[in-house]
Amino acid sequence: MDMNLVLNHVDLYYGKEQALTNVSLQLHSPRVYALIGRNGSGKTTLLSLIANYRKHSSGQITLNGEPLFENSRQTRHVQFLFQRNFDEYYESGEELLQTAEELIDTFDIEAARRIASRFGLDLSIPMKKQSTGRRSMFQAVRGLASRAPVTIFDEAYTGMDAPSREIFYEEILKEQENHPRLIIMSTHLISEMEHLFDEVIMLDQGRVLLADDYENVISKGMTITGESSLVEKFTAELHVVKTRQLGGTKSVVIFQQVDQNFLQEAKELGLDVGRVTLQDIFTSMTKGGELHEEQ
Amino acid sequence: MRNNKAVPLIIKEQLKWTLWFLGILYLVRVAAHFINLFFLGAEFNIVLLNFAYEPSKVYMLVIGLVSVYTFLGFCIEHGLTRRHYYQAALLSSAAIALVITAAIAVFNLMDTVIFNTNASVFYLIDTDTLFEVLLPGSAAYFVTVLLYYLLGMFIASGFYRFGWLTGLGFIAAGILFLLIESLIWGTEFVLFDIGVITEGLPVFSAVLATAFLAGVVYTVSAKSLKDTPVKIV
Repeated sequence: MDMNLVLNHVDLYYGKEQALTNVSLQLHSPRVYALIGRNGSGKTTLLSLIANYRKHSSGQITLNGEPLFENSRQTRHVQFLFQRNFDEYYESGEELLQTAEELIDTFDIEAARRIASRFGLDLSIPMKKQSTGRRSMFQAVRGLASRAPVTIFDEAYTGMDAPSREIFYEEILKEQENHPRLIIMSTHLISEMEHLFDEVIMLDQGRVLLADDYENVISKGMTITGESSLVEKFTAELHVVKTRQLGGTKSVVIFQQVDQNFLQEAKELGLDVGRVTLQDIFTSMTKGGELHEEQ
Repeated sequence: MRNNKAVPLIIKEQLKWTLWFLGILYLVRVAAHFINLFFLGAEFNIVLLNFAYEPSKVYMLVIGLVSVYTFLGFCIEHGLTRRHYYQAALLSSAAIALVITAAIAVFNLMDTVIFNTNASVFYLIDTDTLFEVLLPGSAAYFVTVLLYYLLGMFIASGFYRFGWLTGLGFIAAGILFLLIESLIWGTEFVLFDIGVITEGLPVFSAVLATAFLAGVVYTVSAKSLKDTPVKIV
């Protein structure tokens, strides 16, 4: 089922404080979207609007051409998985999966049991007794098996160990191959999840800083390193997002589409040109973090 | 409302709580009999319809309070809407009120057989024949316990939507609704040592007036929850 999610000039206020400003996005299936941003940038707030947890203050949010808020024809297509507190849940994972099967049209309980078994997750014990990592696994299982046309994972990996996260990523790729849908993943583990993303949305202080195809984003980011004055002169007209000075050597990160002639010219001038990762672009654009250059 | 998948699930969950309540209620009633028999030795004179009435109301108030915090997020989490929740809450409250009414009626008859008590006495109904108590008494039970559930939902919706300060205002409004309920049924209402008691309305009118009051309480609750932000917990 093709999904078309549109946010048009969306604002959200918490009292007098503006949490989201003029957010406009178009998301389609079947694509995996990375939603990245620093703490407090508005990621969960934005996702809560898409998942019907909160009403936006102004603008429009539509799914398949219809307003989304409180519209059961469309909200039933959306599943939002977050770091859930199961402290009061005496029910077992199996019981909660059965409830999900009753309420979610697309839910596949056999898929849920299979994925839980891959995680080594015991579905027979009460959820309140599960560890943080295992609760995250359960949320991952529930989201993957929901087969919801719009599936949202908000930092779903919290507490999971590295092998479990690897299983999670494998299952996402498998699900996307067999049951393609619109997946949004909010994450801080950008480098280890980078291979999953088709599109990137970057938020900063409640605004969309960037929304583009992953390959486009990566192709725009690069480092130019060399003698300071030469680098400064060469990049004077470019969109520099980060600068680092080491003695007489300067390294800058640029974020801009450039052509082959430009790269050739840089090499002829004796400048080093390197590719950067999505993590680098993110940290550079949102000010902070270390630069990990890939020559 | 026809395709509201939350209805059977919410009824089922609250039915589990209610079976515990009813079991404990009758256990307390049996225990009260033996305590009285062994320790006091006086003639035991509890009438079940009177004995069960206040606990039933308090129980419904509590599960009404719990309902908002338990089932609203549950509905949103599964791709349903606020409307699904408050429709399901109304239907489930009616179903649970019906179960409690029927169970108390059965307990009442059991009590007559086991403890030889008088089954035809209920202080809301001014009669002393079983047949005359049965239907109006059941209607009174049903509509008042339903009102208490909706009052619980009303207070919780005020806290959930508007926070603690306005929530306190919902408690004040809830107390006002309890006063109106007392005036309708002619029962004693005491707050801060100030008592109010009236003759009350005839049973049929009282049932209708209570149903109307329940409707008002429910409408305000639903309006409060209509666009409420739902907590991500």
